[in-house]
Amino acid sequence: MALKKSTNASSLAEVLDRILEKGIVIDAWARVSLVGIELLSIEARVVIASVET
Amino acid sequence: MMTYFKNNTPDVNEKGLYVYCIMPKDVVTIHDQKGIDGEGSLFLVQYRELVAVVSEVKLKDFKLSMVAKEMVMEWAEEKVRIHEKIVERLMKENDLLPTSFGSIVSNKEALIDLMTDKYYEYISVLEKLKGKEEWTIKAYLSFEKFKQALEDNTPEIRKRKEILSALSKSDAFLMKRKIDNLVKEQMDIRLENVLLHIVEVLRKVSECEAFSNVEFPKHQKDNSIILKASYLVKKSIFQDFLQQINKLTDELESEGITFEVIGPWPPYSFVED
Repeated sequence: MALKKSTNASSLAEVLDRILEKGIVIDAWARVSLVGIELLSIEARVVIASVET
Repeated sequence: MMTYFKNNTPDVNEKGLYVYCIMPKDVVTIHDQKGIDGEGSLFLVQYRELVAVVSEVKLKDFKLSMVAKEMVMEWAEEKVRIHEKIVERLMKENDLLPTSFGSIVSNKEALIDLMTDKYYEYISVLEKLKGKEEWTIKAYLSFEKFKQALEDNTPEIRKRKEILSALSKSDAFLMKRKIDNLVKEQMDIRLENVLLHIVEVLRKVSECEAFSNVEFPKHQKDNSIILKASYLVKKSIFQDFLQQINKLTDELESEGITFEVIGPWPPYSFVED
């Protein structure tokens, strides 16, 4: 059984999966618009998908 | 993923506060660390019993154009790594609620307004997470091994295979088809039972679970992922948790099932209800 710590290179997909989709969401009224982030979420999913297969 | 500053659209030359996490105010220390842009240092914004860990950033650094996707990904990967590293370092000494990537507030006042608004929610979740960590469990399947173990362990299938050589060519062909269908059907059943068993075992040694969707192996691939889940585990019984994974490995190894344990993570999966 492999026990891995989270900050190694192959876990970037894992980090992306969490940090983009989860965690506390700061309320809309306090948050700056990140124009490219929508795009980013889509791209990140592609990366994750290719890493998993 | 919107939208706007309180009251008006921000001027891109303006600054904001990038928020990394919320913690109970009795922090050990945040160290003298640079934030996500490598320039502004981390500092704390307090409201009652909570603090937010923030750093000042230039808004224009976070306004990305829709052009140059590759550059966006590269930029994002770098920023995500830095953000994660900061949070994981803080996690070593503090319970915390990690934020989503890109959480920027206009200023201290806006942040305090937010913390006022969400105060009891944050306090309650911090209490829930106290003394616990998030771990990812992945289970993989080796198709051939699984199939072989199933065939060997299912008398119905074994018997049919045994008589194959005694049959005529055409009968053997039909029998082989029957066997294949039976194997497929039994594999599905067995896989479902195995997964239920794993989940049941891990539930007993964890506080909470969150599943990710995985696509079940449709093709005969080795090391297909069959389970991916996050578990909230009490630090004090983590060894028990690991022991259960070891036990499951011993039990299921002969069927080609292996496990991976990754962590500890900041509790991303357990901060929102």
